[in-house]
Amino acid sequence: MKKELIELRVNGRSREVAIEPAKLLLDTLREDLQLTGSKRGCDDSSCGACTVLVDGTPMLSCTMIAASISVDDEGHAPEITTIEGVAEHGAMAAIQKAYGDWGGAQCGYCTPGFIMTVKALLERNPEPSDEDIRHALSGNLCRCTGYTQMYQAIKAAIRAEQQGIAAARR
Amino acid sequence: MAENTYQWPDASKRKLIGKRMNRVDGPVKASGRAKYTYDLVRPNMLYGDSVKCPYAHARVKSIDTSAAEKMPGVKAVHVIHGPDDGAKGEVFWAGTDIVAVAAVDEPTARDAVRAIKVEYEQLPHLVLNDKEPNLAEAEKSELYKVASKETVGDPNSAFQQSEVTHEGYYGSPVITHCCLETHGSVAEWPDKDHLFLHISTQNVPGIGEQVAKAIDMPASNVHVHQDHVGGGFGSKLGLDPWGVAAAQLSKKAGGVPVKMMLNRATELETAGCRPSAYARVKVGAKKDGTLLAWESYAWGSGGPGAPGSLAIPYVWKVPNQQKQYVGVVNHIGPSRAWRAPNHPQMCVITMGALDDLAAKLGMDTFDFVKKNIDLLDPRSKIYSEELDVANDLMQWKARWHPRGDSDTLGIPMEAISLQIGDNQYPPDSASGGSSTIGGVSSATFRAATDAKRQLIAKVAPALNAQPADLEVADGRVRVASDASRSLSWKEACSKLGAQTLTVRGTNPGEGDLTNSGVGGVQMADVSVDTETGIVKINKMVAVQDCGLVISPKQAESQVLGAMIMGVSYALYEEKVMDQTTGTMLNTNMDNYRLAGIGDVGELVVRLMTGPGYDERGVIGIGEPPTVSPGAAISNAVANAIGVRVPFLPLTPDRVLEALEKAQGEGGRA
Amino acid sequence: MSLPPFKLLRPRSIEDAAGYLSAHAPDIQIIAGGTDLLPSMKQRLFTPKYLLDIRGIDELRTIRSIPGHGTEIGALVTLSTIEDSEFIRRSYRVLREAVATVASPILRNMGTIGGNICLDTRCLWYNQSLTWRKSCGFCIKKDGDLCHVAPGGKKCWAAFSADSPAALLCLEAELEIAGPAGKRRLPLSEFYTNIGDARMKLANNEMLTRVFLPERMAGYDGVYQKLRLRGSIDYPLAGVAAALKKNAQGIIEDARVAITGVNPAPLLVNEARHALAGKMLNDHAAAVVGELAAKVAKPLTTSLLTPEYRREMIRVFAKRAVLGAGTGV
Repeated sequence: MKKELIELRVNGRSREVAIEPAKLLLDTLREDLQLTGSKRGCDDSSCGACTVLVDGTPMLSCTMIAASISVDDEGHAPEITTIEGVAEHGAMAAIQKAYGDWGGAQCGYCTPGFIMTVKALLERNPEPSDEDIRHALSGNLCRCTGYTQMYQAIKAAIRAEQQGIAAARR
Repeated sequence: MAENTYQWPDASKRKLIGKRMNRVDGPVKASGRAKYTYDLVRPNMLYGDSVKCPYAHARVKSIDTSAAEKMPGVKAVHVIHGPDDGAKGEVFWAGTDIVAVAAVDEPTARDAVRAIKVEYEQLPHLVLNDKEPNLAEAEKSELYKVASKETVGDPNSAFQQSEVTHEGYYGSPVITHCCLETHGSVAEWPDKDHLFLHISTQNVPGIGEQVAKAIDMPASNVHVHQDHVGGGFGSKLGLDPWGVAAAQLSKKAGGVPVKMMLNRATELETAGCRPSAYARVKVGAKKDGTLLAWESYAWGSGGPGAPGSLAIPYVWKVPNQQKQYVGVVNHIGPSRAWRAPNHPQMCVITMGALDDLAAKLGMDTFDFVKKNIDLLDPRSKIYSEELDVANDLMQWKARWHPRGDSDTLGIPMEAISLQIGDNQYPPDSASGGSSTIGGVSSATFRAATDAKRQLIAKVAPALNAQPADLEVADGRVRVASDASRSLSWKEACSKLGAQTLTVRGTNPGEGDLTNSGVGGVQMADVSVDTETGIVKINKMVAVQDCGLVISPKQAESQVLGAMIMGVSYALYEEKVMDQTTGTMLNTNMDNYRLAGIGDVGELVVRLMTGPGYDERGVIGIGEPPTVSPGAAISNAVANAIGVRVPFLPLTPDRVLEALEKAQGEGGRA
Repeated sequence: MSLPPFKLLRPRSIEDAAGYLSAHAPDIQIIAGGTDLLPSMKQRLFTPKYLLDIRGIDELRTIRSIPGHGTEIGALVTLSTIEDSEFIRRSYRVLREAVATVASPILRNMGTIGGNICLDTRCLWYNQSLTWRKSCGFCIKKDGDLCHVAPGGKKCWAAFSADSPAALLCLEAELEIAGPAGKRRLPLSEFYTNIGDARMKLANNEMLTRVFLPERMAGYDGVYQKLRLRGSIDYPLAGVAAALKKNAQGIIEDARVAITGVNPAPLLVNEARHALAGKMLNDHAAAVVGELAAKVAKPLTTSLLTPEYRREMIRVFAKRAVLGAGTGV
């Protein structure tokens, strides 16, 4: 089928791509925008490896049509955030650093999906309980790590953020 | 230190070894910058797909690729398995690649696949393997491979002397690896003689040679590259037909890159499995718990190549044994090494039988193991220590109770169980077989040691000293007896002049730096809802030795990951096959289930380190902790409900069935 | 896996949407959250020429209370929104309980109540790739004329696999449907056919626009019990919703029980209402309802876990749901 030009808002920028109308958001990000952090895992919307934020809400990019969230006739489009958009001004977000430090990743394939979900969780709920964490992360699967160190990573990230905020205030 | 010896530094001198270090590749993975094979997008890249045989057992009669070859956007077509391949085109599992295509995008490749016509002759198939084979029939059938009977000691007398015996069924089904990144590769030919392969593999050093051999070209002309792999667990060590096809398609298309990645259904169907293992086991002991005799009739399957044997009883040197094994041919995707190949299955069968025997003896399994600890030679002492540590972490002795009383239906019951794991593999260079840390660390250590020695040799004259007088510490090279005579590391390296030091460390195998053979103990605490059969994991404890621990955080991570794989294979995983159609029924991750974060309770890991352990040098830990969890959980469930659920996975319908059967028989197992 | 080709239409109003549906039926399908349709399209179960993306129809996104009548929920309201709605939790508890169990939090961010009501029925032999289904000779529901779970059967037994409709049945929900002739309303209990293939009374040029919860059903306590192997993600292999109202003495004034996951449609256990009304809420009454619910369940091997087990779980969960709904647990 003929390609069509669409405009997406990704990681704070407007990006134009020429794609087939049926192309999934995940494949558009990975192939046309070189944003390969979001992964293809399961083919049936059940693993979370492709998780991105759409206006701050975690969603599965493998289950979205890119054209569906492109800029419409009135110039509106949701803001898509991928793992590549989490680092700020070149510095890793606290959660990314903590994840690496605390063994939240082994093979790392599921990691971007988890970090997007965690980012959204912490924005809604800056001090989640273990139960809150378990609930929020229940849609992301990991084959390698056993999940246990992720709790530690998330708590470390929260501490780091709080210390950062406190330092900034001084 | 003498020139040709290598020793890990003393505990007091270790700066980094044994410290809780962060993963070096943590940042690149957490930022999404890590590139996996699936992520590769190369200029002019084509997408590969393939026609796969839909039948479990068939012959390819004819292939017509003409429609695909004429299709716009299709750049190459390659027959992988034609009527003359194999034994007259015979195919042994559904999903076997028959013809591969490369096209400008995925939809076109898919259309091309559909346009290819393949005619098959269907043959009879067998895809199930949980039924106990009749030995006499098995001996006459090509679908079964009967191994020779094995005897140790005098099992007949031993059973006569046994005051308590127990007989039961135990086992686990075929499961798969389910790596989150599926198998696949990107192949391109920079020129007609050179192949560049980016491949999702655990075997970067060795895979190029295997591909070269398959397509008859010099191995030195194959360049393999990969920075990160999204899981392997043993399934990404060897050659894949689709990988070879990618290289051949690329060549036919003029050398442009061809990406061939499996979709999830194909991954689950064909990219490797862990064989099943089932057994009818009889064990006998004296009233005081002394284990005397073992008799087993075991069977299992791992695809078209029936397994040859099963080394049970696992780890235990039972003095009198009678064993019979039958391998079953199944027309399913073939087996590949799955994290500690065969050990988990052997552990499930062995520890299940012994746990049931202990229960029949009225003994706490913990005491039963300690009573027979000498049968766990040569690791008796280690296991004994680990049992005590595990007891402490789980409060086993304080909390254990004899097998459950199932009068109180509907009230969850807690139980504990314990297991033992073992691994013994020689080091090799691929990342597998629990050898990476042993192989790599000792080679790295040797290389670093050699480099240091060579540097010291060059620097010694500048310090008016002999090499033997020097040491490296705190970023300086200095005379050991007079720290004021020293050079900074930078100054020392400048003495090398224009020549840099290149040192290769080799790993000579077992010896002073590395070892093999570890032991572990795991305990599981579960609750079972006896009205629904649903099993909940409350807590698991893993006590594991692996010699000198280089990086505790990563070692613990491996153990935790192994425990969760254990939860998945204990409660959820199985390859469900339909005998009528020969197909796999649970071909997606909705039905082939991996445990999520809410499906595990507390996981506690204790690594045995320090004197008595460090001296053994470095031993791999990737595999051992996967051995025990299934057995631990199965035994915990048996303790909770008073009934053995014979086969994994412990899905609630199986648990309830076991409970109802026991009630019907008016007793308990 | 990629999707088959289609043309995407993005209407801004119900009228536009209805117009497209009329113009292009039967080659057009509605997409909202996409969590049901897109995985099925990847398997080539659906290959519509046109995809009608209705997410631009803002008026379908609201939850509106109409005093004297009840509550109106737009078909596009996401499951997360309902899960987080304090109003729904207080007034229509059983719905909130059921919605909170659907799939996973991420999927609930995308999935809509309309999509959950219209969820395609499921079967191990249906939810497979095209090549897989072809190798088995297809089936009654899609492209064939045989059934793999009821050999020799002429009817489709694919199981209805959504959670919220069981709760909605307990709440006597009504649907508003827009079509070429305008809008119509019908009770949810009359929407499903209990046949696995032509599962709902929705013409291919119609669309679900709103769900109404009557005021008289507000304030009932409610519980939803779901059978699944994992704690998240999985479809229900059996599900029971119970809503009931007790008086101060603990006597049940009114009760509803509905089941899902074990028939081609979600079904009210009609006799449960009578069995519980005027009775003391206790184990015996709950057990009676369990037996009644199990009689309504007719599962086949459309999923893993044996049919006998799933029917038994309907019995157990119905009992527990009734007890739970009565104790405010």
